[in-house]
Amino acid sequence: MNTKTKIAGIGLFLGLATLLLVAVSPLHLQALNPGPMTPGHEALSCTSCHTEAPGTARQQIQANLAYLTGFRKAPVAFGYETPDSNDCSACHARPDDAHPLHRFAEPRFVEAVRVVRATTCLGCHREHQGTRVSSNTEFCAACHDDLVVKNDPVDIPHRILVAEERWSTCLGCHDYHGNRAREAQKRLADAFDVQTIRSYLSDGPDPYGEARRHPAKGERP
Amino acid sequence: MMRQVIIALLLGVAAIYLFVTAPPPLPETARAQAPQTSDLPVKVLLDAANLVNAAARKIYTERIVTPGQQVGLVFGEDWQEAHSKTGPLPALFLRKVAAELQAQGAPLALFLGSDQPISPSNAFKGEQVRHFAALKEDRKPRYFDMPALRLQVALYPDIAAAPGCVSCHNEHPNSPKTDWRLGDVMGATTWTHPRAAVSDRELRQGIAQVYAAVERAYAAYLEKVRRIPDPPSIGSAWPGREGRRLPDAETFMSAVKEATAAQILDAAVLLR
Repeated sequence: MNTKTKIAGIGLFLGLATLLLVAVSPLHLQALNPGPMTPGHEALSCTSCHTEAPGTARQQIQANLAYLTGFRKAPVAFGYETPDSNDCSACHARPDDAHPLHRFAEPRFVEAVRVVRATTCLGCHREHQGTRVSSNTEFCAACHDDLVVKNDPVDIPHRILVAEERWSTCLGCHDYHGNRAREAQKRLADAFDVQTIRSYLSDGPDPYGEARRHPAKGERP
Repeated sequence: MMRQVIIALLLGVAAIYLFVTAPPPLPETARAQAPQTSDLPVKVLLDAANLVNAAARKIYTERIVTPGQQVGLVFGEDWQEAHSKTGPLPALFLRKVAAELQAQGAPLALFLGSDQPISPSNAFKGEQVRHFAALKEDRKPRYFDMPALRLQVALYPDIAAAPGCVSCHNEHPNSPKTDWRLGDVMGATTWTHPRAAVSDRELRQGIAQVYAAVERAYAAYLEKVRRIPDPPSIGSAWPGREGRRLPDAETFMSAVKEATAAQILDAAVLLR
């Protein structure tokens, strides 16, 4: 065996050993974390959202090789499942969400969901980005462009705000999921300004206040 | 030469590890498994689902809300607010049934819409407008598919059946139409399903999910009622002549099943 082959063999051995150590270590999920958590999720463990994929690592490798070689119809998750809205709902499901996901599966919203991907939590809330919301502040226009409020309680009526397309003002009074224990402002002058809202949607302070109608569960039950 | 031998040995060990000594292969996921025989048009399931929901809403409206109001029970739009002492109005009962269907992960989905809704977000848009206009003319269901959503859609007329429907919509401050009359087509119940055909098992499972959603929605109302001051007694009696009472979930569901069993048997089992 020449020196080159020896070095390659040792390198291969060390690489495989490192991979094996990472795979069996409880720290491997942290090592694989692709980015900062959404504000409020910092204290969660990885397995709060990522459930273990069925089967052993050997079965998963076997199944994926079978899939790649055409002996299986579908691949399987390796290690952990990719979270979806059901995983979010395990902690955040509420009976009175102002914008529940299932409503956007309705045919009338076919155009709207091309603009706002509200049929899944992940359409607006991307994890490991370090932000609360990844969409802009004007998405309300996708559904509420024909808004009519009789006996409008706001000093500048909604019909004027809609006609003037002042969509960045919506979140100044209304929190999207309606989970804050508060009343919406009645004067537009009291609305949170767009910079405050943008900052909050990113990772800034919460202008709506901390009190929630339905607090999220701290960990997957 | 040595290198090739080592690689071949490594591959051989890996193959033995993965395939010869490995535990049994993982089963295919339900979606990838060979499809069951799906020879029933989804219309059968949608019709049956609508039958159950329509009966539940009729019973809820005529035997809970209307007589309940006469004995002091209150129903409102804010029933899910923590401070509210009300129960769901009939349309919101349907909304709760829809949410409970979704919570079960059912492929079936339920919505309520109109061309004159109290909330603009419930107004039909796009293709639904045309189908609803036709439905208003002959009061017959409409079935169509929406390829963009990969959904089969059915619209069923939603007819003003109780005085409360008419008075509530006529008197509501945000109602765009204030001259509703009994018997008017006030809107349409929309059902969707992702496939054009279902298996016998999926049909039975879908119907069971609708019954379960109705039961859970009614149970949520009872749960709310138990938290209000001086709650009505909950048991086997209905509100009205028997006083300020509410049927328990079992009694309510018995009434729903009694009202639907024969038609479900015909439509979904005997396929008549």
